[in-house]
Amino acid sequence: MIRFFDAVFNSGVVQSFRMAIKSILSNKMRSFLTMLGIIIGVIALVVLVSLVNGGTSSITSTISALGNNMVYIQFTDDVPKEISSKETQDKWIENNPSFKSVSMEYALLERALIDNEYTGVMLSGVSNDYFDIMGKELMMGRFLTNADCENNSMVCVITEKMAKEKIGYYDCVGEVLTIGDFDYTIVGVLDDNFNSIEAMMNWGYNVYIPYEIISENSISGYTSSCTLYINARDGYTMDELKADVDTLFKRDYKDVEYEIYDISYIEDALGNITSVLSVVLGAIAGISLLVGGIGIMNIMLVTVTERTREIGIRKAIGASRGVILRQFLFESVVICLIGCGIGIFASWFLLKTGSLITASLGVEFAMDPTIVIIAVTFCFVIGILFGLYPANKAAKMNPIDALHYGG
Amino acid sequence: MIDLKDITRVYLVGEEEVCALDHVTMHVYKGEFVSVIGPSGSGKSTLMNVIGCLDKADAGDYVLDGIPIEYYTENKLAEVRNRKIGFVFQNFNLISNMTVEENIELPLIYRGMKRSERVKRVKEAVEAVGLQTRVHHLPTELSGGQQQRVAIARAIVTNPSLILADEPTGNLDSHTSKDIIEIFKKLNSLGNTIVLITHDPDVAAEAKRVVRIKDGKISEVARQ
Repeated sequence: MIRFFDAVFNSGVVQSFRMAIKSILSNKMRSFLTMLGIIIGVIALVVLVSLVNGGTSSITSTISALGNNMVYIQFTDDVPKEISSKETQDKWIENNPSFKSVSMEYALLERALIDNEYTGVMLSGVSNDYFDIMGKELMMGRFLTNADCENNSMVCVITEKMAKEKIGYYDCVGEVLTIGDFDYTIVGVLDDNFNSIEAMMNWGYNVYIPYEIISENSISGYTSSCTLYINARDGYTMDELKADVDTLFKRDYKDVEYEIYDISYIEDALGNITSVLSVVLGAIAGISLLVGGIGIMNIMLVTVTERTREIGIRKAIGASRGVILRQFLFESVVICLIGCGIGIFASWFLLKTGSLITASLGVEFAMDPTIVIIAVTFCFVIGILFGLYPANKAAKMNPIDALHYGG
Repeated sequence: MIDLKDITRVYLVGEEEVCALDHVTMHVYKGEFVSVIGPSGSGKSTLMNVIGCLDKADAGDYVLDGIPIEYYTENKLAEVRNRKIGFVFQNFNLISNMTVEENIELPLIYRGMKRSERVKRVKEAVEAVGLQTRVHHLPTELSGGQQQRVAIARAIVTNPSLILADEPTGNLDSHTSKDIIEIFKKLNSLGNTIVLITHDPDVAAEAKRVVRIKDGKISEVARQ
């Protein structure tokens, strides 16, 4: 081991490195200006990719907070009465330990009469478990209860947006809402969590009533959809839940056409978009790094010309081509890597400052170690690539001409 | 030591061929102090380049210390320069951003010598030229005579077979020149082989043997 270090030390690699540092330091302003191209390129690369990643992780965490333990099953045709009945669903929960609770949502477009004016609302028939599965929160009043659903009470829970924009005020618990041919008493107002992806996707004018009211009274709106929500009991994974749902439906309800979804579909789609975005932005930043590399090649060519005499001296006292090549190659690589280091540090600073500003929005920008490694590697490659031509030019100089250069 | 036989070197200046060295045959023996004297344009610089393995002859044989040089590649020549030859130039040719010590150490680094050995050798070389107090200075902080001493120290630090000096006193006043010549004489008395190229008859006269070169041909003048 000691012999190995000895060999490295005496092979002149350390010396080449020291000479490179010395040369860079002897021309600080020029070295800094040369580095600037690399610094800006690295900042662009690291900051842009970290911004995309930071944004993505904040969105995905919102999505998974919404329903990372829930699957939903959509039906192509009408749902058999059997599936939508509370008794059947209770039996499923009994037989499948991975099921925590189950709720149907039968949603249809209806018109409500508010202040003698008709307005469109989304009327959803749900069970009392629906609110728990969907992670809903209350603004005031209460959710639908088990008793509401068993007795088919003519009560409803509405969204914050519905209360605010259709009724005109939040404090509407106890008021009566006329939807279609029936009157419902408002018992609760939901807290619209605008961070949630569901709130973004939904139209927002929702009214929730006990499920069986719709089927008992054969209410049929303009468009309708039927969805079954099931969430997983603690300790069961999404895959186990999905497998159980699939087995259940394949065995007991062969004729029903259905499709099982979970939130990961949205996460996957979002992941695809953002990874494409990362690559595109990264490529643009990469171009600016390349431009920085050209700047380095330019200045290295000047340096080689300026130091022609020195190269002549070194050759006269026994420096081989390889030694000269290595010396100048080291210089360009060291410039690139120092620039890269400064760039990474500046990026870290920018991201920290940026995170302070966006902290109130719950978005934090962390520096991705992967992109740091990519940046360092890329800078290293650029240093070699753009240093090679000037270094080779120096190495190939004729010692006599070099010694007599400029007198 | 040095065995030049029918060395010819022809340059092409525009359309015209200039014969810088015309069938030069010359021998330098181990331990000799030879000076080569000639006016400018006589071919003495070319001779020095050929002897110093910086340039290759177009024709003729050159054997340095038993090595036939004409078959060597560029990298091999660099190695020969490093191990066999110590250069001293008219304009000193020190590297300006390196200290005296680092300049002297450089040829040893190129040889791949261990650090402890390098330190020892540099110390010896510095003592030989009497610059012990200046080792951490930059060349620009030294006088011309001191700079030339650094160059001599750099030349002898590798313990070369041959010290090749090209107008070593050309940029120095007569008093300093004398000191430098004395150093060469001392080195010669210690067994070093020296070839000194100059246009100054007084300097040339200090050597044990003087070789005159004119129009690419040489003639021996005196043996002292």
